[in-house]
Amino acid sequence: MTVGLAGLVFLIIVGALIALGVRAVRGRGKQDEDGGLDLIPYLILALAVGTAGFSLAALVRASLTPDRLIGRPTGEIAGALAGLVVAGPIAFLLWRRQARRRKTYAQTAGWHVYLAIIELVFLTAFLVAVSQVAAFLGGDGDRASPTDLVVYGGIVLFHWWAELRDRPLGDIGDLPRLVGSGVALVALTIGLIGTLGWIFSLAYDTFWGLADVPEPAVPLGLLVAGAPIWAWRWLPPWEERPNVLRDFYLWFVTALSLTMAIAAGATVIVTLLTFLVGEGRRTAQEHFEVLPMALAFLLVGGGLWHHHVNRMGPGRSGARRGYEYAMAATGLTALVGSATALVEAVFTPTLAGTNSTTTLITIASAVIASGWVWLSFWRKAQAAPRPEEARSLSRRIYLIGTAILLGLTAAGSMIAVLVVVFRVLLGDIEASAASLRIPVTLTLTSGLATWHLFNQIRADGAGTRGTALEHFAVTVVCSHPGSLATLFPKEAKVRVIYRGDQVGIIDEEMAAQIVAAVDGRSSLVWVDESGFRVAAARES
Amino acid sequence: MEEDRRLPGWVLPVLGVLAVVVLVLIGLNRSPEQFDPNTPEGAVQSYIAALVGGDYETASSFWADDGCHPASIDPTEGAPDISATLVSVDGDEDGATVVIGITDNATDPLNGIYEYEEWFTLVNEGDGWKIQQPSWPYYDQTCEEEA
Repeated sequence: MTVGLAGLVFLIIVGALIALGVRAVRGRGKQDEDGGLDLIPYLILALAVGTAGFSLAALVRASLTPDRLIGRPTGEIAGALAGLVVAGPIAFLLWRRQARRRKTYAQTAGWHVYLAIIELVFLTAFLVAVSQVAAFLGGDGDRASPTDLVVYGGIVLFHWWAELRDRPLGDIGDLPRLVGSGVALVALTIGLIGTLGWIFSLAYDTFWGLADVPEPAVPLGLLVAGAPIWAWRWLPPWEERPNVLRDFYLWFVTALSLTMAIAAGATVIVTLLTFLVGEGRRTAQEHFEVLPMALAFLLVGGGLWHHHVNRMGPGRSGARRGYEYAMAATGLTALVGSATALVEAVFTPTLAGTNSTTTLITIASAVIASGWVWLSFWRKAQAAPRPEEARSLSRRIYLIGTAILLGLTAAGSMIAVLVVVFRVLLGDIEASAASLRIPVTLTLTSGLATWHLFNQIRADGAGTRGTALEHFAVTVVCSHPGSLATLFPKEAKVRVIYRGDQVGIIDEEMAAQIVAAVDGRSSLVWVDESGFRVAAARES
Repeated sequence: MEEDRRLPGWVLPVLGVLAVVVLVLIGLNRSPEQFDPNTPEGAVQSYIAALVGGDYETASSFWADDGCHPASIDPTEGAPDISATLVSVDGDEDGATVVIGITDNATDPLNGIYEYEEWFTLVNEGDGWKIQQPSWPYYDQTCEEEA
């Protein structure tokens, strides 16, 4: 009786809280005539759907799990029910409210962010469940609950269906698909590397024998699940022009896959070189054991890089710039680190014999690879017209961000050097070159790199100042100029002629490209569905 | 027309509540799986069942002859009030490791539901699988090596 009464009071309190919440949200919605961002209701909805989704999965798991040893799952069911009772009604009511609002205010940022959060959380949960079930089926994992696949997969499918009904538009509308592509790509990459590694290991084992052939169950499961999801989220044509979000995704994945391929290629070369040097005390069969996995990384990294780099489009698009500067930053920081490690390896005194040839070859290869990466990508950036390049956000982030990172490294290592020097001067310790080797080398290498970067920042600043002193006029024929006028320097006089259709809309990336192409000269700019063209105009 | 084809608004929540109720009823009414007592997981199941039922003599009969035993056959906090699921079984015909997931029902519910895993190392002594060095639920008892 007491328990029943307590339950009733609890339900009344929960119901009252839900009613108050919905009433408050409804009242606020009426005042918000233009729809706004609608972020808060969607974040609450995401929280409610997340709690309800995981509670439902826990309830199904507790009720249907086949391997119960003893007792009833009262604890699990109580916990899951509590989550469902609180989050379920909130999720249902808020979902219906937001669905009604989407009919009035077609697109709000909250809808896109909500879809992206759900995709990130439940697609990840689904793929984790896939790997657990695959591991169990392969005989190499704990008992997994296949019901998780159904619950998490169902939630993902439901939201894909909702996305098809109310398709996100605008630049931020790409967000759910990009998040889905990224999550699926991680699963696909792990699956491909693991599967190829397993195949190569089997081949290696057949011919030369291998101590440990990796288990294929989890990679195969992730490959089978990840490939169709990635194809569904990434491959279909995109409705919007390239934008900041998609550019970021593209350059990030491209740079990461190339880094992976280069590291794997360097591993293959180092393995061959160290074998030729013949220092190793292991047999050839043991020495080359690393090759199956290294080749898998090389092939997968190379394949992903080839696919994504071809999606960047011609010319110096935002994605291509981001990719090239990301690679230059990776190469430069790796060069500083590996050069320091090489100096340390070369000059470390040994008790007997010489330094390890394998270590030296490995670090020297890292220096060569990182130096080659930095030089080749930096030269590509330098080959582009400087005024246009200097204004790009990617270059500024590369120059300023890397300069700050390496500058702080140089300052920190110099402090370490000075601490040793002052302790020697104060008679606290005896002078020893060994303790100074790494900090001095790091100060020099990172200091030199910082000096180079600051020189480039200064040169870019001088270049852009020099081109923006004279007045010039720009006539733009387009459907909508967007933020174009705000990007031109104050010396520009911008005149817009509207086309009267919707095929010549200028987005932020195109606006930046137009400003760079005009380059401070009086020009006529024509924008249509194929992009923009710039023609020099006579001064009037 | 599209509006006419739509389900009434109350249908989905009612279906959802019904599904939850069905799941709860299934969960509360399903009997535990009966494992063969001559398997490692079956031995662990019988051992836990004896502990939960307060039959500590039977429970101690599952302890291996060799190795470390608790000083007393009475568990530290009395008969455990738990539900348990099988997580994994690994081993061969001589020895095995059984992992089980335990949900402690006796814990104060306001402190959350207490779930954890326990590992049981078993050895095949010919007359059945026995547990080596039982530690759960004998947490603070002195380990006594038997000759």
